[in-house]
Amino acid sequence: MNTVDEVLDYAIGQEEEVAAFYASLAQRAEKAGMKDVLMDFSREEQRHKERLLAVKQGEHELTPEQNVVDLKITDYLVDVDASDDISYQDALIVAMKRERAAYRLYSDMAGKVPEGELKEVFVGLAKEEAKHKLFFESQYDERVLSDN
Amino acid sequence: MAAGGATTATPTITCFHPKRIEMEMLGPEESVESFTEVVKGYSEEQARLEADRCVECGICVATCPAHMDVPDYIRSIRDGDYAKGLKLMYRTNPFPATCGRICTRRCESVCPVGIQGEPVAIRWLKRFIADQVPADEYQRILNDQPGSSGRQVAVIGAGPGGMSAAYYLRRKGHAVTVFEAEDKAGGMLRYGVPSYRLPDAALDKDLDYIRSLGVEMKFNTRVGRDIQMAELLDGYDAVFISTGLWVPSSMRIQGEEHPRVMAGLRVLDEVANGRDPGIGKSVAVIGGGNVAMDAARVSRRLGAEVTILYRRRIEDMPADPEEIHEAQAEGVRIVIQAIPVEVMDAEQPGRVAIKWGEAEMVPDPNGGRPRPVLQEERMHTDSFDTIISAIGQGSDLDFISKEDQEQLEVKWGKFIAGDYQATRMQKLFVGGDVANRTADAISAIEDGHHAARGIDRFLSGAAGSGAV
Repeated sequence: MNTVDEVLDYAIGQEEEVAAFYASLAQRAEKAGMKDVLMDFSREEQRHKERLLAVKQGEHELTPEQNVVDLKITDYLVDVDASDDISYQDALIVAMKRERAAYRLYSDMAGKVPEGELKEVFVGLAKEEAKHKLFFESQYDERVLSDN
Repeated sequence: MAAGGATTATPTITCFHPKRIEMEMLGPEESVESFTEVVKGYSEEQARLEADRCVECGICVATCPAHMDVPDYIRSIRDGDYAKGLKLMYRTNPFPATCGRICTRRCESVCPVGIQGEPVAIRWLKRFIADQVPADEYQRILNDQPGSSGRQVAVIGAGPGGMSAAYYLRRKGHAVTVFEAEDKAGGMLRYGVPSYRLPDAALDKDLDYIRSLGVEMKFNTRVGRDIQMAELLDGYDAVFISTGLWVPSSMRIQGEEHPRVMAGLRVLDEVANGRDPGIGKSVAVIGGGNVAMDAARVSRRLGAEVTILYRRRIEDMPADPEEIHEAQAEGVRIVIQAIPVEVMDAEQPGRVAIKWGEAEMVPDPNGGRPRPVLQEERMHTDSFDTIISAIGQGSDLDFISKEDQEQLEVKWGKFIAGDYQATRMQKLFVGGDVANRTADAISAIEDGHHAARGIDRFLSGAAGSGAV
């Protein structure tokens, strides 16, 4: 990945892959209501992909915010399986962990390239993923940690 | 300004006494010694004085989920006509002795008397009426004489939602069979609310009257295990699901499977069944809801020193503020903005340690309650005999087949109910914690009543039929 377009193509491909992952999981989901929840997740990833496509076409900028809050909920949760009988709580954990992994990947890449346009793109992508993680962490905070 | 420059004070005129009649309660030292009911209840004189404070505005009626006729039943206390008060309460709520003790009392939060003083003690007045009328007088006073419509309804779950539905369905003459997984009725009211807040005798007074109308109870019968949902849908004219939220949420942190970690609901259930949960002498409770508060107060009564670890601030706790206050008075220590991150063996054999970090609250950009952010440089590790996890609970809907699930609307583990608690499946209605957002007894009771109306309309060929 040596050019901005290559990086964005990679990121777009990742979003597409994750959207397909949730859609596939939704097809297999056994618990009541989980199909809809997972399809919501899939559509959310599709929106991320479309946003990145717009960035690539110069119609949109990557996350301009200085900092995205890190609730750090994900960091201390155990890994869970994306099994057919996945619960809402575990689906959120899977989503948060995936967003966190993507955030870390782009943050690491940003740290490895020299100052310049490429670095800015990696930083921007990292912030995008941080925002996505915050979205899922906020849902977890509200719905799973309702009494906590 | 009066003539001559002298000022005259405007007299303050109020038509009510701003202070509520104080409720006699067990002191904290005495209350932690047993499971005796903490609140003693009003005397006749106290109840009349408190009833006199009501200005009969009726805002409470609109706010109560069951729309109880509060001003009129309070007036019945002033008139000394408790039979009339009881009849008024049963129009919309067949759990007055219960709600008179543990209702979340949204009515009191809007009582205008509270603007210049303390709101009328509506909950205690409801309890007063229910306590004045002996159980063996209920039938004569309420005069419920169910007929026979020839229609049969299955109710799944004998909690407040299910039993409320059963009561109002029987009043309409429909035969009702309640399927209950436990060996007694009451649901979360019996197994989740400790007896120092709701004694079994009070709960049973409400339940016994409902059952006296000819409700058939099938105890120790779990739908999905002992009988299948399809059998109910085939064998009954309508089915009402009110199974509640019984699955404790997992913390999903490292070490949570430690044998000294217990779910709050399990502790409450053990105690309700007269068993010793074996919590030891020092306990950490994780959570800030009513289950956490009940687990903490029960633990105090079992002789433990109790520390609550809560991720947010006191004012963010979903538990009833009164319960929080009473827990603190009983010696429960609350550590706020404390986020558990790992459970592990303690240095002392047989004990458990929990690692937790301090949190800073950050505003929610979407306007919700502030969110706690872990401060990783401020971590602590404490040891206890037991950790009780009470961070929330969810539903178990696995008794519904995949085919039926496809037809139902379920979001975040809860049914989405339509008009009259109906679902997309014909003859299937839902209500209570498993279908509403508030997850409290009074909302479940109203759901049951509402569903009974809906089922009656359905059984009588849709429209018509009026209030149950």
